[in-house]
Amino acid sequence: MISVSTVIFNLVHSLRHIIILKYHRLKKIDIGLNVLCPLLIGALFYIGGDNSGVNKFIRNHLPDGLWAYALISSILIIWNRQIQRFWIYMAYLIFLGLELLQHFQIINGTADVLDVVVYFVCSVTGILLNKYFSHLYNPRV
Amino acid sequence: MTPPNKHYLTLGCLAIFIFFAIASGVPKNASYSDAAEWIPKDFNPTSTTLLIEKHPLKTKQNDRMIKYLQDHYPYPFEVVSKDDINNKNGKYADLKKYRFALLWRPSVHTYTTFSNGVSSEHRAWDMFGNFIDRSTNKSYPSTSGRNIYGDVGYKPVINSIIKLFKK
Repeated sequence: MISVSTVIFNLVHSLRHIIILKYHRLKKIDIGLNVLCPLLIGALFYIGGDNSGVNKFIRNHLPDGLWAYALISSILIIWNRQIQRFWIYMAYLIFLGLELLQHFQIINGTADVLDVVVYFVCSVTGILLNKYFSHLYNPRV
Repeated sequence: MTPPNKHYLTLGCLAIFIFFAIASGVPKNASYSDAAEWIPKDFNPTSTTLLIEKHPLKTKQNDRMIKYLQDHYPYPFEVVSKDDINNKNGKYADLKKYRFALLWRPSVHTYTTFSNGVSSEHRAWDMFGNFIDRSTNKSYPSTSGRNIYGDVGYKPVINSIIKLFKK
């Protein structure tokens, strides 16, 4: 005869399994929504180039902002939506570094302080939204 | 299977993002949608040799521009100095063969940064192209607006010409 404790154990185990499955599914959605989607939208602006018919300011800066948002989101997702200050600071160093490399014409592109502002605004948006996404899918098991 | 170390995973992720940021400096097929407005109506790249002004920056950029033209521009061209373009008695005196020239207009726009309450002005460099008809001295409008291509601003100009005549 199955004891009550066995039933409870099996129920808890099944529940835990369901939650873990949900966790993995939500993580995939998180990656899709916060990493792949922004990158895809940004890429469309690049592919469209001057023919995209979008305002020049948006066309020049939005892809950069979406890239920064996706980068910050990737770091947060890897660390299960826990803020790792070291890697966040590293991301900011990368933002500044890329603009400096452009300024000294080591890589293609035009250095612009506005790009840094856009990087900052979009990455901060990613960090602010982190709380919401963290609550949405982090299982308490 | 052991999950990958998160630090390595983050490092790899950053490397991928940096790679794409650098690779997307200038889209390979970037061009101007208003090409028909600044390319002369009677310019025929197959029947004339386009004179292209040397890159306004350093020799290195000029070499890169020539390489880009050799690889992508399928019509006759010569990269020459502005003096050669303006001189109608020298090597390029044949105005039938060398009727059109493409000049580069460097453009600098300024922006302001604030640090410790002190504002400072900075300059960003862009490059615009415009055609001239050497037989009539007519100057055509330049590629419009601010671009994002910096010292490789010749790429969308060249791409636009290729695109227009490919049709």
